[in-house]
Amino acid sequence: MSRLTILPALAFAIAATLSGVPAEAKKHNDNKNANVGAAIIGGLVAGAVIGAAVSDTKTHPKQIYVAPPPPPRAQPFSPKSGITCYPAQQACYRYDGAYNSNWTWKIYAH
Amino acid sequence: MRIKGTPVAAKTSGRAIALAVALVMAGVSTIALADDDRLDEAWADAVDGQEPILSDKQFARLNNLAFQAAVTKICDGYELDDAKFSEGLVDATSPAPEGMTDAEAEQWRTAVFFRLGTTYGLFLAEGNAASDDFCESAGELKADAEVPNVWQ
Repeated sequence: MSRLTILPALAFAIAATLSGVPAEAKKHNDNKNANVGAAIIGGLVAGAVIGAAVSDTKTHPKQIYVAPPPPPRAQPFSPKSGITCYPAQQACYRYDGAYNSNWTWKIYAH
Repeated sequence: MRIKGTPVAAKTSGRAIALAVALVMAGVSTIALADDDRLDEAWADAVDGQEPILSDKQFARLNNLAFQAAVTKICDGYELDDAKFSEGLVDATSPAPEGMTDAEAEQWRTAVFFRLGTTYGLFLAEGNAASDDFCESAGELKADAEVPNVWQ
């Protein structure tokens, strides 16, 4: 089982982009960029379909699942007074505030 | 002429009190309920129908990475540690689905990065709309030794 499928160099480039440093690793192709633009304008949700738009595959994109398709999303719940967790987003928020990494980690990411 | 304390006034006052009690018992506050800063409709548009390209645990780790990246744009005193972030991204997206062809692997990676970007953008919006709350949350993460962060 490969752990490094997201190549570290590519992940570093993403980090550099988010921190404002020009990325050294680029992988551009005008045709692929046009396909991505068309897919986004079409309002597609992230998934294999987006991926297919930027790959060279001519076949219908395979549904790539980490696990079997999940059951319908559960409703928000409160693990502790003042915290609301949203299963659909795998995220927790303070009841009257912002996204809370600490509780998100405890409930979903740990 | 009706004066205070008449049977009709007493009945009206009694009904109002009874209604208030009923509302409280039903869990409805007479004060406006607090709401979090989450952009509920935007998240619904972004993630409803999301294909399970990652597990819940992996999506959550991606959320934390995107949040921390957004914090560096909105809150003073935070800078991304690029090496920690990249390692965090590798960790959050491992293990990858097994048995993918090269083309499928590229599709999967693209979908993952698309979701990361979407999440980052939504946190930027939430953080800019309520920066005090957002930065307070960043401080809580920074102070928690049990939750990893990817800041310098």
